[in-house]
Amino acid sequence: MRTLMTSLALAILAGGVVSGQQQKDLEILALVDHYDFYNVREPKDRSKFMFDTETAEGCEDILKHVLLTGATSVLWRPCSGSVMRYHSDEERFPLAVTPTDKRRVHQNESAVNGFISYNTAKIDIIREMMASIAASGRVPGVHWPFEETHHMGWTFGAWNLEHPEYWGVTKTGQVWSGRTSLAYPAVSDHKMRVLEELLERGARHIFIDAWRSGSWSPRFEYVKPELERWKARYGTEPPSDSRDPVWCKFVSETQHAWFKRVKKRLEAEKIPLTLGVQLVGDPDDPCDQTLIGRGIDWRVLVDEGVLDGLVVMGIAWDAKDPFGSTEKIYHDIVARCKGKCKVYFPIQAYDFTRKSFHSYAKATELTIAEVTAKLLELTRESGADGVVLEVVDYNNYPRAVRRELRKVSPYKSIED
Amino acid sequence: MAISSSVHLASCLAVCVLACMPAVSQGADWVSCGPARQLTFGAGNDSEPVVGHDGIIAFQNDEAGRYVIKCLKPGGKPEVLVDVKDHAFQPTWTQDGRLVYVVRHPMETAAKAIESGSEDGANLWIRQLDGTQVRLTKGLWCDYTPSIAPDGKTVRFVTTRGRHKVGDGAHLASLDLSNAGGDIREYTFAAYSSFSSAASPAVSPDGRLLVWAQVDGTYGNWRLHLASTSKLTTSVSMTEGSMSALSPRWSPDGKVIAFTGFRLGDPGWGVYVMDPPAGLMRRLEVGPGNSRNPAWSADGKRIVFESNRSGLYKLYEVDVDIRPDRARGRKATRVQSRVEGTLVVGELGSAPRLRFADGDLITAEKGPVGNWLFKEPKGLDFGDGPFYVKATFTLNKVKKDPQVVVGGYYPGMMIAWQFHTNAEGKLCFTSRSPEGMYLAVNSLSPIPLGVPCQAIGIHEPDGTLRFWVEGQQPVVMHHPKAAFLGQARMLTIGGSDGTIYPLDGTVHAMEVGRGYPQGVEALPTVEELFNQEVER
Repeated sequence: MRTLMTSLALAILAGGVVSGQQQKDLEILALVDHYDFYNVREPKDRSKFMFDTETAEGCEDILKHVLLTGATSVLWRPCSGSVMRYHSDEERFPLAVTPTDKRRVHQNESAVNGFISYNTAKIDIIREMMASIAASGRVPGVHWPFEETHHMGWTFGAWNLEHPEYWGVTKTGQVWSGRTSLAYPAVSDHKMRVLEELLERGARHIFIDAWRSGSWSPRFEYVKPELERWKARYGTEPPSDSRDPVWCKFVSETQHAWFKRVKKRLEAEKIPLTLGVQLVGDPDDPCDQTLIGRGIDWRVLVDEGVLDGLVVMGIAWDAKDPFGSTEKIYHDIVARCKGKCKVYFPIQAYDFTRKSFHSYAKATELTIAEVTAKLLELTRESGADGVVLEVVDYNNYPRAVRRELRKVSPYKSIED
Repeated sequence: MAISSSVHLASCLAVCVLACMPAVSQGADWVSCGPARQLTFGAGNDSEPVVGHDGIIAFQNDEAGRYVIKCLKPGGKPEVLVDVKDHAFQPTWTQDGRLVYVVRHPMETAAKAIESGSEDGANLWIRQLDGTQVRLTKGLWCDYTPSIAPDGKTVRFVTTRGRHKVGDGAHLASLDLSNAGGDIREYTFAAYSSFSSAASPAVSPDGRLLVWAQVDGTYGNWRLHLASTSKLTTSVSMTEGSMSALSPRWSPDGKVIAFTGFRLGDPGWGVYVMDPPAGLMRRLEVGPGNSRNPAWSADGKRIVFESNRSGLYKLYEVDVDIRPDRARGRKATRVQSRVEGTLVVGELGSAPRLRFADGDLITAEKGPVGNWLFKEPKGLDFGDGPFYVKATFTLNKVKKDPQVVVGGYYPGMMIAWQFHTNAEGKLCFTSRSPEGMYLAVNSLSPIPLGVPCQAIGIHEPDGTLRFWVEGQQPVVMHHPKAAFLGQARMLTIGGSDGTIYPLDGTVHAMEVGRGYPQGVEALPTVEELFNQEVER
């Protein structure tokens, strides 16, 4: 399988080279949550699954589908810190699945996902897929939300469950297992060990997603070390409103310290560190969504040279002037980054924020393929380095959209 | 939005009820324990201990890379009791020395198991006295955390059977032990709650009460719930939402519950004991590390638990001296129920009025989206006590955006509580946490269009939302904690206070008040549940 992929990659690369390029190709970062493929059924036999996501074959088939987008980097979800999708030493017994660990909540969306267990699969999925992606000629990497805190405890990490002493705390003193605080050195160390596991498995691009970080926010950072640090600095109690920009800035210092630690580790191997940020409208907004919602100030990280790449997961464009407002935001963000790091803009398929290509299409009466072409053009014109696909599921980027994406990719000649 | 006078609710009968206030105090000297003694040694983690009547401890061990059930006789060494080549775990003794446990059957992959029509999920088995093992349940579901009822005839457990929605966890179930493979009786919790899951149900020694652990919502912690076994649909939280509490076990005399707990400031998981009717709770000083899954000896004088103080989880025991004293019990807080505001509708198209408890009336102002605004309404300062909202309305059309039926606004807190519809046409009842986060509960199915529909939402002091929508099962959601509500700034009917979320429909009647509406039973207190049990 891997040999075939390598041959295919070489052939495609060659095709890309000889096609001649009048414009520089864009990087296309494809984010892959392979779990999303678990319940795709065979069209002709609905009792069969198209992708057995616990197997090497199933994962390879998913990769093939993802590569149809012209992706240049494939960033696979490791769910490190959540229910891990590889054989992690950070998540040993008690097995982090229901019901052997009764603290976990069973995921019942369908019987199949209730019994999926990636961390005990026969293959080490991250190791396997990093190798396959590399063999295909693409950059293998991970799309790492620190925690997946979806719908109660079925995604909370086993390490979290074993270490309540590091849990997040609200202003009113409620503990919460959805996130352990980086204010504790033990938590920072744990996440560094996770990083080592990912690197050892072949990840060559570390993309940390501050948007898809579940439900964590500075609301849960009223932990003892942060309270003491605040008291030492200000001599007062911290604000009770966890969205207070001063509190969020304060919390960001702790988050940033960890990012710097990661940067230092990756620098030696020249592995890029990329950050995904939430909906951006005005890049100088003092109440930037990522700052208020995640306690991370991407502007500081860019200015300090901590980031190699900035992924803007959503653009707060104006429905009155969809492309004009998009163009301005693109320009402002690129200017804000001043060449200090790469910049990637979104080609969004999912409409959670009502800013996806579906919403553009609705606002402009263009097709989603036409919208994609326009967004790619604007991305190029802005001087950004590429686009991000969040996330590539089964046909959520339809064939016509994939065709447009491949036009700006080095992988133009893939048959779809 | 229009307001019609076709239906008019005018129930102003004040009732006196008891509110459930799960404030649990520490107490002083009602419990003590001796030093911990290590019971098991060697490889692998030992966990989930249970102590039989003859003193034999059954537990699970993971040395083999999977769970095997072992037993430890007094003065003896651990012996393998159940090794089924799959995971065998969460053992529980019957009174006559049989063992019920869970087997998670192996599957190549989940997809292949489904495609092959497998009925091997995680199911209950029983080891008979002669050593034979009999399967009790089957199906590609999870049946787990079993315990034996004091009658010795039934096993209580939780199951994922029949739940197919995101966020659906496990619910309570029971099975007649003599009926292997037979019908499983399933129970929902206090009514039905999506985004909820249960674990570790345990029946009190006298058979009257059931305690279990339950978690609700993304931000929720595991909490202990208590209900009468004859009425599981009315449960109360015994632990506060600010802490995490799991694995409850009754003391043999039924007076005290031991459980696994963690609350702010603890060094890790700990063994807690609770004297529920007295409202006393204490973390036992059993030593360093995580200490979990307490199990009582038959005489109630020892507690066996697992701890990782040595690196691996091993079993330990402590002597305990517990002196429950119900005379020190907490006093339930009495809340005077009262209708604080009633919508009074006039001629069609004329401004409605709001009548307060003292008889005063104010007239609504027309809002920007055809809705009605009552400014500075009196009496809606519910503090941290229970309150309710009751409305009868007709929805004409489902929209992608929310449509607000009724909403309460407070200084610094937009929409502190409301009824609104969602894109699925369901009705949602929301309030706020102390941090201002939305607490929400949704009707189970869309409300009917074009006909009047009545809904009642009750906001309990502990963050629990109870919600009745006409023609549907009641829904309950236990949130960690509720916001304190001072004097209201505005009450809106048929839309928000701004320019969005108008209701395409008609509000016929609305009532809001403190406590509970007429005809709705208040939740019993923990004390009441225990006392009812004693009286019987």
